[in-house]
Amino acid sequence: MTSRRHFLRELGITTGALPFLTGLQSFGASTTSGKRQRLIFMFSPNGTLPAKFWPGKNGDLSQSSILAPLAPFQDQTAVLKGISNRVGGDGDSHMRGMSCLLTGARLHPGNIQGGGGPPAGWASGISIDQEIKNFFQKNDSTRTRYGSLEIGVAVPDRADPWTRMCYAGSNRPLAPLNDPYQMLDKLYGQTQGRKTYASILDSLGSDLKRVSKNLSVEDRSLLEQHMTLVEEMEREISATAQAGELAHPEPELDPNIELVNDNTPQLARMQIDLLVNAMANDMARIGSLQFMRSVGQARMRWLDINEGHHSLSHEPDKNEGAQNKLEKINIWFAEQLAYLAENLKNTPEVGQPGNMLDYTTIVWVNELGKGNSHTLDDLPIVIVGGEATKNSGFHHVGTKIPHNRFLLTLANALGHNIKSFGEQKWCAEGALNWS
Amino acid sequence: MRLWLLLGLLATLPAFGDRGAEIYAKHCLSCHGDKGQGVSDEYDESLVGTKSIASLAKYIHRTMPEEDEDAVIDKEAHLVAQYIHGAFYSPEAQAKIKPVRKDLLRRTQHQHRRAITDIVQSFRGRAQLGTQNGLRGHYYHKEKMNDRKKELAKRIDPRIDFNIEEDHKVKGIDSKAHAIFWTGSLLPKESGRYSFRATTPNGVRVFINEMEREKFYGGETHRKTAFIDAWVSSANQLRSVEASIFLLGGHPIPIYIDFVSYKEKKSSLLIEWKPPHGKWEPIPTRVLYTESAPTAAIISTAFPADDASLGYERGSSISKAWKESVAKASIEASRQIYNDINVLAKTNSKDKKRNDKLKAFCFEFATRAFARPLSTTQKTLYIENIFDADKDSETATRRSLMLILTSPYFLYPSLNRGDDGKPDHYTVAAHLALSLWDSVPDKELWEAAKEKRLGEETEINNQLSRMMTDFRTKAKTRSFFYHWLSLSEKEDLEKDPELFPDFDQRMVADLRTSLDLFIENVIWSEQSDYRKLFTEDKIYLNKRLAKFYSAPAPAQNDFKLLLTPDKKRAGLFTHPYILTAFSYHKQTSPIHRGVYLSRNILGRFLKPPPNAIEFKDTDFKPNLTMREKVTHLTKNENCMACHSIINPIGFSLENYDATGRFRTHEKNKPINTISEYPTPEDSMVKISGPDDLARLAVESPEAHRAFLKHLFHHLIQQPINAYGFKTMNSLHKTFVDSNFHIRDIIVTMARETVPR
Repeated sequence: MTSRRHFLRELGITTGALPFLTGLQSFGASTTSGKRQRLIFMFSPNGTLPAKFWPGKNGDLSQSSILAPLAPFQDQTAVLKGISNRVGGDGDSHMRGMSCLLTGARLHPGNIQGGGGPPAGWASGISIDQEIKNFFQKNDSTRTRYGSLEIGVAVPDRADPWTRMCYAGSNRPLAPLNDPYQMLDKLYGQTQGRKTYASILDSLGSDLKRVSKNLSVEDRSLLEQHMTLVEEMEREISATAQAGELAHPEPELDPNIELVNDNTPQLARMQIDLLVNAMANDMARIGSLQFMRSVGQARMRWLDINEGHHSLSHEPDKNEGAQNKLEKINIWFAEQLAYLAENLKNTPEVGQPGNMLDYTTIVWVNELGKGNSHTLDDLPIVIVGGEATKNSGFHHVGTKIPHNRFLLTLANALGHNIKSFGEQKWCAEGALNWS
Repeated sequence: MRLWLLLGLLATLPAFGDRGAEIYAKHCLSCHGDKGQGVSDEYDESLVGTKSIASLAKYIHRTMPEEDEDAVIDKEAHLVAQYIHGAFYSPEAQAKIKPVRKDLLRRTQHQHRRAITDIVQSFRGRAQLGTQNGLRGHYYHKEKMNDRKKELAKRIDPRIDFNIEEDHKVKGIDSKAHAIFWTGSLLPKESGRYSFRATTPNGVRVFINEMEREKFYGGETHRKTAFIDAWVSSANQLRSVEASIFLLGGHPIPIYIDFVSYKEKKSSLLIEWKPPHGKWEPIPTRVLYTESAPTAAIISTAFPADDASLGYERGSSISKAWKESVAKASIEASRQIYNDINVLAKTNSKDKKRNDKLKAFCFEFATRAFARPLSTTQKTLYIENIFDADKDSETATRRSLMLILTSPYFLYPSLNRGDDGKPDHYTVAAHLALSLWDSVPDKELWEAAKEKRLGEETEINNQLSRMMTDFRTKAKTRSFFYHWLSLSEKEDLEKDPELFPDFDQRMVADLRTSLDLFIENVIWSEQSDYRKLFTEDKIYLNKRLAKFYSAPAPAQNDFKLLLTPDKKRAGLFTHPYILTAFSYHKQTSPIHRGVYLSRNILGRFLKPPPNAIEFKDTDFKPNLTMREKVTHLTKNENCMACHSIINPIGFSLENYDATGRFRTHEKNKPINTISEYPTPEDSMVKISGPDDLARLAVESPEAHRAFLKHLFHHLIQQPINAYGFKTMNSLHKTFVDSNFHIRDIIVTMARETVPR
């Protein structure tokens, strides 16, 4: 016997299949033609290991142990050195590193006491991803259903300047969505729940029939109406299932991954799959992918590391054991970036030559230059795909170049021709020229 | 032709030879039909009502038949009245003509929600709340990044309204470095959406109905996401953050508040709520408890309104919208349950017996949802087949839960029968839980059913008296009162701000609380005396209300039972909330007050008005009093058939303005409250004020019966006549004999309707 569930599977029930959840907007929002431009920020915390990170002048990624996983994208990767977070003000370096990273604006005075400096609050300005998103959403040809997606991987469930890099405006931090199942719900409605529900309708109908047999005529009529409704629902489901499909079907998620530390590698893949899928269906053109948080203590037991990341990052350079572990950690982050890039590269761009990576600029950022010195200089910045395609290679852009200028450069590259971003004084010299 | 027709019909009459029947056939039948059902184009309303024979006779004598009023008078009028009364007019006669049956009912939306919450709760244990109101506060000294450097004090706070400048009671507290957390529970009185608001220049996180269990993720342990997260302050600026949540009346939920102030000049925190129908106010002490309740699984899916066409809500009809809500609720519930499955099914992700435990959990869940042990067929369908078909235990669990929660055995509680199709001990347990709690049996009821103890009246009484003290009974009783008093639908009680400048929405919310407290006090006092509802001369007032109603202010800003200076209050009849609810925007409405009180409280039978006439104030000369206007508007004889009852009641309350304030004059004329009121026995009595109304409510069997009928329908959700028309008589007798004990009569109703 073919069960209802299999029957539904054969029909290819996916999105929007169950009509009883109304109010869902149509999927794959915009119908615009023309070239799409996308931007994704990927964040990893606690600084890098400069010696193992920066490639040589020739920009050969395979020469840098941390960046080696990106070697397959050598022609589409740019590494920028010489950029500093110079915003200053209240809060410790981690807080400012994180909350000023994409905002380029000072933190308000507040009640959050860090490891140094006066206590501070939220950033006092919008972050660049949201700035560009707002710009995109204003225009019919670039507007999408969500505009931007803020995605987290293993970000602890707390809200403070160490956990937030995206801001809708002054004092308005945006929380990354940490749970791939919630992400799936957000993107595709309660599809999983609805699918499961559809699968029980058959059993329900047969039970109603059995029950009503034993009832009086009057009582039976109510259950008969009930049965009619169940049958109606089944018919509607199969009818909708036969109607349209998405250009890119929603990803199948393994339903048994708990949100726990040790599942981080699986959760990361799920989140990346969802991000790429959502962008493929043009639900958003701006994204952020935040791993953990500044001062994060992830215990990467999947790399055979049992200590917390932040504690390791404080160890002096001469502690070889710690250095090796930090190297492994940062290589792992690079691998996540490579997975994202590869995923984009394997997806053809709709209506254009090439693949999605050609039209997507991924920017890998970190709140510190180096973990044990807490420096905000020489932030490790890597760009893959999109804009880096024209300007790949290693670029030493100067010394202590305010990162506000870098953020401004990204906005301009995506067609948003603002003259300054964040605290104005740091943009006096305008956008960078890193080609 | 007409004669022939008449003769033909006469043969069908039951009491041929009865003189009254003969008169009816001769003079009345052509317009009223053979069973008083009416004849279209003649008189199409049916002849049913509650008038006595004497009263009917008098009416017939005076007015019938319409074309020849003198054709049926005196003795003949009495004979025909007697015939009509016995053949079809009286409720007893109607019960014989159209025997009422018990309908197959599904759960109403309230019952549906509460059942799901309670089934899930039964795997966690219910909250044990003590008598101490307030929240437990823990005060700490903060140092650098350590929020809890040193505990300074532990105390019980009646409300969360903290201000460091006014709060010097915590010894050694550093005004620029402190952290406080509060724990306890919140017990909402009614179901609906509640908003919460935290106002502070510092940092606060509020957890409402969140799991207390900490979890380890992203390398750190932390609580669930805060319901309100305002942890990060900004330049010590005062700000408010709001969030809302659906809660169930009578179901306690945990509350936890975390507060911090560091190196900041100002430090304060105010936590407020806005209950359904309410206004923003600090969460009142009376709903806070110091013990922590376990988290509750509460379904927020919206349902279509239940059928209330018979005057009470019941699950007598189904619709597509309802079916969809049931589906959505099952999805929402299965998700909520699965999110906490490890605790509920006592397992973990590494458990080797996980699959077996999940299966056992679903089995137990179905048992509790269907309120009886599963049959073999049910076990196969709801559990075995699903787990056999799905290797993946999460999907299997979710499917099983969804199927259980959309199953007819869950949705239609009256399908709960033994194998032979007859009611058994489990049927009784399910009935008791549904009548008093709108829910499913708890552990004690289950055990009693399992041990076959529920055949004995003493055991049923024991269970019922235990169940009476439960918060769920209180919630159900409360919603009965709101329904009986027609207050559930009253939302907008605003009055003209120029005429009543201080009467704002805050006042309305206060009055609602005042009425709540009054009703609660009457029911849950030892006497639980229905009569007290009408004879109480005091009103619960807080400072704001006391000022408006010119009473001496209570010492603290809490509600106190106080006398108003007029000293002329009579319980519900003069409670300002009711007087306000049944008034116009600018003035009183004797008609609204009269209709409502005569129908719902005095149990008078009123037909809908033959033609609806709108009251337009501008149609009258401005110097007329309200009484003069109403008298003029309803002077037509057709109107007076009912308005002879309505108007005197309304006029007797003219001493109370549109906000329920006492007055002696209107338009500079002294108010006349005196009228002649026709009793159901058609004698005329003089009534002149609330005390007279109170006497009617206390003494008149019609009034008692109206109350009992409403209460019965609210609890049992079947028409009372379905239990035989003698049921009302015997309930009434029990009620009177018990000195009108409300709680006892609730117990009697639940017991006497046990399916047998």
